[in-house]
Parts: sequence; structure tokens; C-alpha cells
Amino acid sequence: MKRSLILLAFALIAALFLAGCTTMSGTANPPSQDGSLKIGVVASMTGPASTTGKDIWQSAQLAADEINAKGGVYVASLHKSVPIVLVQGDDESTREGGQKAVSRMITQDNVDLLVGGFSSAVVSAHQSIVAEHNVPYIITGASTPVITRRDDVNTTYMFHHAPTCDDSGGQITLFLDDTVRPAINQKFGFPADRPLRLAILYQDSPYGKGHQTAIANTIAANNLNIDVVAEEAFKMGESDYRTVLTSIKNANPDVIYVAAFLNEQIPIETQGRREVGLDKIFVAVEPNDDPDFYKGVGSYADYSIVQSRFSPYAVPKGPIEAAVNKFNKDFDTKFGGFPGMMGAATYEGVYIAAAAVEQAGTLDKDQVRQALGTVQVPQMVEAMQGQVIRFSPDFRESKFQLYMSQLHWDNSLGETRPVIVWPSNLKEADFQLPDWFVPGQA
Amino acid sequence: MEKEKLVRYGILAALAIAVIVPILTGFNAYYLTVMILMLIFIIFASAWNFLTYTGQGSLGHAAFFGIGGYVSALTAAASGLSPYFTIFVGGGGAAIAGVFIAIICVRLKEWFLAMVTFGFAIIVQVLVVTQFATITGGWDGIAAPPLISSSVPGYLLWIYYSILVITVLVIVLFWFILKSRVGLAYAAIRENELEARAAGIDPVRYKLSAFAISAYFAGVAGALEIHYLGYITPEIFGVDISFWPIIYSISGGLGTLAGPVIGTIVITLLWDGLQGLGLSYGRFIIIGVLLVLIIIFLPKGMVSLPDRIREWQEKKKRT
Repeated sequence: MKRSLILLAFALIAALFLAGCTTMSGTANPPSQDGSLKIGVVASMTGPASTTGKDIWQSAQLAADEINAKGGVYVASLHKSVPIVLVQGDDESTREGGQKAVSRMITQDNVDLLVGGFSSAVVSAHQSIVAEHNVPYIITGASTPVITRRDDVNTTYMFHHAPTCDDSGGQITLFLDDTVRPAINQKFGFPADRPLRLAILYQDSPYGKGHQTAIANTIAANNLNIDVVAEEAFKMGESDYRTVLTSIKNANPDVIYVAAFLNEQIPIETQGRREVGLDKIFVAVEPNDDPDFYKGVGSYADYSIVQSRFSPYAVPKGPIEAAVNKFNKDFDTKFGGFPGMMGAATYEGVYIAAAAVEQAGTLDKDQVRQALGTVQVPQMVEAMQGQVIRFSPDFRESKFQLYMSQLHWDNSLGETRPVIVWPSNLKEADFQLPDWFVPGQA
Repeated sequence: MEKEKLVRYGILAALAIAVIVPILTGFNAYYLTVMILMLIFIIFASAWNFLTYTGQGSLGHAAFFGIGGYVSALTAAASGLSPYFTIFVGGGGAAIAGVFIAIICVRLKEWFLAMVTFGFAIIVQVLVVTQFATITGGWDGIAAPPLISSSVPGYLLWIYYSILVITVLVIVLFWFILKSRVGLAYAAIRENELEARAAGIDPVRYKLSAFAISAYFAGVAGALEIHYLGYITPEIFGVDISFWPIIYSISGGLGTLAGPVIGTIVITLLWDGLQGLGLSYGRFIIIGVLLVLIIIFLPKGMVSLPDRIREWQEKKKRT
């Protein structure tokens, strides 16, 4: 009797298990069909990246509210406009948290699209579940180009709307060769073919390493006249850089390219100029263009360079100027404070999603994915190459027009302010060498 | 009912629940995801806790978790072998590293040992992104073949049940070891190393074995997670990965077999359950308060709760 009961229980469990297999075998997700466009926002709302996560979430909210205020997204197959409903997916700044959040949004909340994603490690850990369910995903963070170039999972539903380290490092290197090198050679009467002496100080992380690789690749690919005279690494979050800066000083560079985050960039420039006596041009990468940078670095950033794609103070004149000012104002009114670059990209990400759905005329995920492959949205709050947001046919990456600003001290503000000096179509002034600049020597 | 009988019934009930939970939740993919990760961390926390039986501690078990993941991922990718085989190869890689670190610091105790292991995790991470970058993919990481392809019907269920079996086997194995003479030797070393030595026990040998076993199963857990997520990056050596097994073990009950299991289940359910209720930030406070209460009122962990309740009831009766 007892044995037959056990057998019965096993048979029941086996039957239910098989039923479960059948239930779970169909991984194609139907559209949400509840009269809305449901967008899952992957954001680190908790954990070390939560400041950026909040920026991502709030910017997505702003975009959704704007679209909804205008009547929503027109879906031809439904013969009506539907509102955008955002679903928050907190990846907790961890790989496991991302896996759970994305799994929940796809299988429980039945989202139509995903937007967001910040850390490369976190995104790469939840890509498999996105690929498995074929949900269109506009990734607005993750600096590694690997994200949409993996061949072990199907990444065709993933679209990368953020500059990769390759793009960012490449553009800075081109600027240095194109603008800074001739300026030095001219001012000091050097031969025109004198190479620029470049020192690289990079964070020992995927981000820093990515920049280091991008610089080397850009120099080699374009046969640039740049000599890398020093390459020094530092551990993420360090605060005393005097040793590596002294080592760099001994290498006698013209320019110091720093691949670091805000909390590192400020002490690096401050210590470099004030304590190590580096009378050189410092270059900061794009995440540093933030109000806190200008407050923290003070006069030590005078004449230094910062790369940008969305700046608190340097708004590129021309087609996007009004949109940037409006975005900043609306964000400040709604949430208080200034939106960041990740927020700007996610804001655009929601608009791209809406445009793709309108172009597809349906919420069907496969057709939305196809629409994302060909959609063209006029540039919004970030300058894009060709003034249009579109994804490349090979790796589905959008291409930003990253610009370079030179900082100048403003006595009335007690801070430096950026002036765009490159590229030529966006520039407001020429790059200048300060009187105190000392060129490097071999 | 006798305590032993109660424990036996409790274990059977827990196993039955573990088996039927996917059915009760309607084969919900999100719940399966949570439970798969929970099982992996039960193995990891149990492996960390195993070390404490000899009175040793580690603040850097992420090193073994990550080594297991990398070795298994690289082996599976290079050989084409099933990850269900290579996870044990990954465990072997972690065990070798465990023996290496144990040989270096077998004479260190408590916080000194913990600090060395903490440093070891950082060293391994640096090696992975520098010296071995050509094979590990550096900071970009590498793809890890999946445990079971998502094209297999019900693959999440198969993954869940297979990891459940591995988890049960690991805990049973720990139970056998701890009930054996080896376990008694561990306890003797933990209680008084000098007396253990006087009784003819070689503490160095036993501590090395405990480190190797602990590292081995931490490596197996890491390999399971990596083959489940499908990608490995150096973030696997992060400090948070080292601290979770400590939190799970201490809250559940240090030095007990059930402690890490209970701790992992309760904290995971609270963590994800409270988030499901919209308490993204509030859960930190609630779990923080819970941990403080456990340390104050249940220093032997949640596993000691029935005994404490009995004590309180008896005390109440007396008064």
C-alpha cells in the first residue's frame, strides 16, 4: 500500500513535470495585449550603481510621460494609440540581480521591449534570457562592444545605444592627432611631423582597458603620428595618484589621457597639476562631464579637455540645442537636479522604442525587432553621426558624435566652464594652449 | 515526538517542498530563476560553512567560486564536454587553489587567515584580467556553454531539478564527512588545537583537507552559476560574492549543516519577496534589522529558533 502510494506520487509528479516541460517549451512571448506598450527598464536602482540607475529610471519616466501626454504610441494593427507603461527592473548592480529582474519582467510582467542596462558584466549575464525569449532590448549602457557581438547567444534582438570604448577612445585619439598635435608643433616651432607624446593613465577595469586598447587600435588603423610614452594603471577607486603621476612626468608627455571615473578624475587632475607639477594637457573621458566634476576639480582643470555627448554646460549649438535645454529643464522641474548621460541615452531609448513600434505597426516582438533594425529617429538630446539615430546593420550599434570641450576658468562662477573645440561642425572656439604649458621632450 | 524524528520529518518535508514548488508555482520561469540561484548559493554557503568546522574562516571564497567558474567554462568550451561534467573539473581547479592557499596560511588563525583569503581573491582577479587575459577574455569575459540548451523543452525545470540533486548530494556528503572520524577530528581541532595534537590528530593535514573540500564545492557552485548565466566576467571575484555565504551561514546557524540552507532560503525569499512587494529600499532595512535581531537573540542562528522557543516556554512555565 505504502509502495503504491509512493509510486502514485512519483507518477503524478512526473506527469506534472512533463506538463511543465510542455508549458515552458513555447518560449515565444505574445505581445502584452492589454492596451499599452509595456517597456521594462533595466536599471540599477540599488547597489553601487544606483545613482546612475535612478537617472536611467527617471529619464525613462520623463520620456514615457511626454509620449503619453501626446496621446501615446500609434499601433496600426490595433487601430489606436496606446500609452507607454514602464516596468522597473532593479538589477541590484549584480549579475544575479539582473538575471532575476529581466526574467521577471519578461515572464511575469510580459513586457514588449526592454530599455536600459548599465554595467557590461551585469548585461552580459542576463543576455541569454533576453535571447531565449526574443524580446527587443535597447541597451543604453555597457561600454564594451562585446555586448552585441557575442556569437554564443542570439543577439539580433539587442540594440546598443551607447558609445563603446572603441568609439570613445577612437574619437579622442583622432582629436589629439588632428587638433592638439598641430597646435603644439606650431606654438613651439617644432617640425610639423613631430609626434605627439601621449601618456595614458587608465583605470584597471573593463572601461579603462577598453580605452587603452582603443587608443592603440586607432593609432595603428589610422597611422597617426602619436607616440605613447607612458601607460600606467590604477585600481578602481584609488585616491592617491602621485606615484603614477610622477612616473608619467618622468616620461615627459605632451598630453595625459585619463580613462577614469569622476571620483578618480578629480584627484588625478588636482594632484597632477598642484602636487606633481604636470604642466600638461589633461584629457577626461565622457562620463566626467558632470556638474560635480566642475565643482570638485576647480581651477586645476583650466585648459584641460573633456569628452562629452551630453553636458551640463556645453550644449552643442544647432539642431539639438533646444531639445537639450528643454530636456534639462523638464528633468529639473520633475525630479530636481541634472540628468546624466545614461539618463539621456535611456530617454532617447524610450523614444526609439516608440518609433520602432509605430513603424512596425504592431507589438509583435519579431516585427518590432525588424523595425528597430531599420528605424531612423532624428537625433534628440545627443549629437549623432549623420544627425540621425540608427543602428548599424552589422552589430546594431548607434554612432554618436562625441565632442571635445576645453575648459576655461570663469571668475564670476568660481569654476571652469566647457567650450566645444571639436569636431568642426559643433565647435564654438579653437583649442588653445595655455602659457604655462610645457611640451614633452624625448 | 523525539527531536531526531522531528528533524527527519523536517528534512523529508523540505525535500518534498523543493520537488513540488515548481509545480505549485505553475512552472513560473521567474520563480525557477530565483530558486536555481538560491540552490547554487546553498551549495556555496554550505561549502564556506564547512571550513568553519575546523575553526577556519575565509573572507575571499569568491576566489574559489570564480576559479571554479573559469576552469569549468574554459574546459567545457575547449573540450565540448557537458558542463555537468566540467563543473567537477572546475571544482578541482578551485580545490588546487584552496590547497595552495591553505599550505601558505595553515598556521594563521581567525582574522589573519580571513584577511589572507580576502587578498587572495583580489590577486586571482588581477591575474585573470592581466596574465591570463588571452584565455579568460580579460575584463570582457567569455561565454560559458549553458547547462542545458534553452531549445530543450522545459530546460529550466531540468536545470532546477539537476541542481537540486547536486545540492542534496553535497549536503549528504558533508553530513557523512562530519559524522565520520574526520568530522570528529575537525571538531577537536576547532575546540582545542593543542589537545587535538596531543591526541594524535595532525591539525595541518585536517585543515588542508577542510580547505580543499570547501574550495572544491565553492568552485562547483561557481561553475553551476556560470553555466546557468552563460557568461563569466571578472566581477565574479567581487567582495559581495565573498560576503553572501558568510551572511547566509551566520544568520542560519554557523557550524551546522542546516544553518547555511535555512539562512540562504530565508534571506533569499525575504530579499526577492520584499522586492516583489515594491520594497526595493525598505528590504535593506528589514533584512538588516532581522540580521541584528538574529545576532542578539539567536547567536546560534535561525536553526536554533525551536530550541529557544522551547527554552522561553519552559521559562514562562516556571515563572
